[in-house]
Amino acid sequence: MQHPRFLAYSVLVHVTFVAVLVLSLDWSTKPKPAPHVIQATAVDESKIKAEMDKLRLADEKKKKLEAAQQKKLDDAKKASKREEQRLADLKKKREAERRKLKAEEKKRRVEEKKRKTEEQKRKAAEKQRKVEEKKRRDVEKKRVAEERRLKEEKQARKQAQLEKLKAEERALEQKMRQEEEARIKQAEERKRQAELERVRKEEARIRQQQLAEEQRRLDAAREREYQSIVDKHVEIIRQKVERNWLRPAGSVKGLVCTVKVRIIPGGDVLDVRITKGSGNSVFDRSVETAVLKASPLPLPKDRALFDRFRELEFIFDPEG
Amino acid sequence: MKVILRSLLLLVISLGGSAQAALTIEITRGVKGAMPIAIVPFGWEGAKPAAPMDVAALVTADLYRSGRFSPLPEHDMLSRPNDPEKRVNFKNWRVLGVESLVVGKMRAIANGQYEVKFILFDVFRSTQITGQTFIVGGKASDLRAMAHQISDIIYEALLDERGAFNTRIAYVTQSRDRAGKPRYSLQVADADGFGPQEILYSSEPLMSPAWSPQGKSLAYVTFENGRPAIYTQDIWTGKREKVSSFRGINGAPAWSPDGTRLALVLSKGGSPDIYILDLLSKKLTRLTRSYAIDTEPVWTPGGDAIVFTSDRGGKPQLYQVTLSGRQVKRLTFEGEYNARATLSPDGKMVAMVHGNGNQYRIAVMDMENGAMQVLTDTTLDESPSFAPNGSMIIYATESQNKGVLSAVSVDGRVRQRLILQEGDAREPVWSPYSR
Repeated sequence: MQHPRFLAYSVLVHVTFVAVLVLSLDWSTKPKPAPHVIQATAVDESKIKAEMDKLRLADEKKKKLEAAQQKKLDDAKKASKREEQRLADLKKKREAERRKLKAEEKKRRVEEKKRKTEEQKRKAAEKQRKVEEKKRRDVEKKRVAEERRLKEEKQARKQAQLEKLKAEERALEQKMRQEEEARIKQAEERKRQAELERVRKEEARIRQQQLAEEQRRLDAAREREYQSIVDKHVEIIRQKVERNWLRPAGSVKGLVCTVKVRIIPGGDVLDVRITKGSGNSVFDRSVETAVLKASPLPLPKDRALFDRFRELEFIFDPEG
Repeated sequence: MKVILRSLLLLVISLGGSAQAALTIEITRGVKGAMPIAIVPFGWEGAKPAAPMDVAALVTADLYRSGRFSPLPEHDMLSRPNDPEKRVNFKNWRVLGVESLVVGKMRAIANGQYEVKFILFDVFRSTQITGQTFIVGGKASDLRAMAHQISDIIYEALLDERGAFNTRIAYVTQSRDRAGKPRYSLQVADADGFGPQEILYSSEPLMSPAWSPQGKSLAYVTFENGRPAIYTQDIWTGKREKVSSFRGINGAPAWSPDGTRLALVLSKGGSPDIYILDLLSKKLTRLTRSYAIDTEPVWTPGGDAIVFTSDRGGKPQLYQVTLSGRQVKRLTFEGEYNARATLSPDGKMVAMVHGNGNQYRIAVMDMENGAMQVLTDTTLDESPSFAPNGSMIIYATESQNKGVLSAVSVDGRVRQRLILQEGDAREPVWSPYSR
């Protein structure tokens, strides 16, 4: 039986298939060139939290920094008053300072903006990451589901195949059994037919034989009848020819003359041909004349018999 | 067994249907008889109202007398074709069963001569068998000879043997002259008895004429000197010669086939015996030596033996003696009297006077098997003599106490008296073919 081997093959094929599928799935889930965030993000949530804390600390530090800067600014103002002159100078210096501050503000705003943008970017990335994660999970889920499905399918297929094989086997068996039965039945039928045929043939043969026998008997009877008619007419013809044969009175003995005589249906002699002459012209002529004088020769009324009289042979043998 | 096989074979063949063997019919019996012939009166063309002779009638008589033909009587003829040049309607003859037909014509030509033409037809084959044209003189004997020749031609054409119609017979007549004295005469006539000519006459008995093989001379016994003597005589010149006149009987001369010797009967040695006389040297040889009567010698055709009559057995019977060995054997055993032998030209048949009680008839015997057949039914027949073709025998018989000549066919079927002008005829002898 080859089925187990087929089964093994099948299993192998399925395993291979699934493996290929999994591999190809890995390949397909490989993300597009990702932002570095991804690199930072790990599967670990604690890391994320740490990051968040770090960000908040930086924020608070900055705020403190800003308050210090404000106080410093107030002190400066007071010094200005005191130092009017120097104020002017200071004004100038403050202007410069303010411009510097302004520039720094601008710079800060730009940085803020930049930070915000980056936050946004980060948030988007996060969102993206979450989407990706979800997607990944979905894919995983899908993969698992697919795997399960495939497995189930495979199982089912295997089962089905098994079933099918079994069914086929059964069917085959059934078929074979049926065929065997049919064969036996056929053989029996053939045998029966042959026997029937034999009997039929035998009967036909016997019938044929009987018919032939009957035909032979009829033929023989008809032939006997024909023969008796022929014999009768041969005798009548003989007598007529003998009546017409003037045997030459010559003293030569032992003369025999054979002639072939062709007759037409009325019995008239068509011609007389000497096939074996006696060597004596008078004797031969007397023979020819006898046949010609006996014309027409008395033939049977039954035209069917004419053929036998179409050509006659006469042997004139006075000592015969 | 053979018959069964043959009939089986026949059955097979006939059942087979094809390739049938021709039926074979054996004919063993025929009619013994004469050949039906018709000799139509010849046509005549001449100044005179009728022909000088009826050729057809003479030919008819000849052929009939031979016993081999049965000519159709003229009044039975359905038509009378008389010109051999014209087409003949053979049907008219077939219905009558005539197998052969003779059509002829006679025409007067210059110098009193005649042209005679005839054709012999085969009626059933519608063919001409033979024919001939003659120029003949006006003398009756010439015309007769011509007619006999026609008979011979027809006879030979149809029977494949020579005719004997143009031969002659010699015979002796006895009459009385005006003074009442006996008159013996040696006559020679045509074979049909016509035209007799006297060769010799005598007041003393003449006996036993015998032809020389050439047919030119006759030997005979004459008592002209008061006692028997044998003479030979040339029939044309009349020249005669005495060849034997011994003491006692000189009788029954018979010429040898070569013509050089005579067999004769002499009693000079006591009882009559057969002697051979050499005609040239005159040497005489004695052939038989018995106390009985040995007489009437005839030569066998080969010339090596003599058949004769002898009563050495008590009654006259035929014997044969060889010339060389002198062996004698008896030929006839049937009947108490068999004498006066005559041999057929082929030597196969011997004819004789066959006596039974007081009936003497002509009989023939087959030399091979001794079968005897009596040919005549008269009572005092004598002197049979074969025709040179062996077809007929002429003999003498008595009618109203008068000797007459008759001819009988060798099968005995036809006997016919010869019409003779005169007398009491005896001892006819048929001539050989003249050579």
